[in-house]
Amino acid sequence: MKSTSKAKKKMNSYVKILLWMALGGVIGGSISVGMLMADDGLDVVLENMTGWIHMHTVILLAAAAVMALVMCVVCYKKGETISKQFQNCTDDEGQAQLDGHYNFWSMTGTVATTMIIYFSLGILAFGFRLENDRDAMRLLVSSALLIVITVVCVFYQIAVVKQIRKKDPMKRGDAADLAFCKEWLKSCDEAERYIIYEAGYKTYSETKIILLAAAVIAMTGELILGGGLAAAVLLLLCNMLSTVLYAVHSVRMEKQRYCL
Amino acid sequence: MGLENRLKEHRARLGVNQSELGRLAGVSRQTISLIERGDYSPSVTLALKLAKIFDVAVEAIFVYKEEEEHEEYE
Repeated sequence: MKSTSKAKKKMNSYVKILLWMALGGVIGGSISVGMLMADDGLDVVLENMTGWIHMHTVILLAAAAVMALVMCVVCYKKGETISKQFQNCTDDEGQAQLDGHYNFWSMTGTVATTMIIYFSLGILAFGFRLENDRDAMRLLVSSALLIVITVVCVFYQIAVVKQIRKKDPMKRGDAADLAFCKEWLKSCDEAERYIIYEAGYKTYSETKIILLAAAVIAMTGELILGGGLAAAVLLLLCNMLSTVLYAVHSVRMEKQRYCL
Repeated sequence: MGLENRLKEHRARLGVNQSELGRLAGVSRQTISLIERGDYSPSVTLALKLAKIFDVAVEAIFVYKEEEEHEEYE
């Protein structure tokens, strides 16, 4: 009967959560045992890797700068060509195909430039070691390169937003403006907003799991390799903050006039 | 989804493409395409707007069909 089925479903949920916890325990245990067994070796590998990145910070950042420049030029030019083709296309299928191509290149460019900025920041972090004058010079050049990378990537993202606005005149907002997200969202239609909200919620749900997993890895790392608990604490704080922010926004949205 | 539509037929009757209809309704071409494919159910406001553009009743474009329930009882 229906009640039996419901009870079965409920029991299944409890079993499921216990199985998930057990799986997490097995994975965590395996990683810990693996790291403990490779304790000395892992220490040396990590030390060597950190030292290598520190020594090659400038070269790595220069490579990132070149990559950023190439990505920006290629993606922007592709977008420009597709936009021109779109203006001359009148049939639905052709426009849908061009839209797909345009979205691919603009998304690739935006994601790649954002990733390059974060990657460069990570590389620069390895350069923070001031033991002699050479280190100071390395840090100075690295910082200058990071600024160049950031400027190139941000300029590309601003240019892409302008390109999209040219292609779709209904879109509003200046990417250099602090209120850009708000303006952009306002100019999106109901289906676009629905996609943004759904993608946002999925990202929130997945980020919570990723942050938790990262915190566990950071704690395990501290247990075996040492180096402080700051990373784990920060990750847990981020997770707590995102949960609180989500709750605050949910309550606020409920009070507002809700309309897609 | 439960909502079937005859948007494509009405659009053909009016002789406009998805971009032009989108412009008339104040939405993007992609939204019109999503509605036509049945991948997105429009809001009441948009459905009424589309009906006004085609000068027909909303029911002439959108038809609600009851979905079959697949829940099994033991």
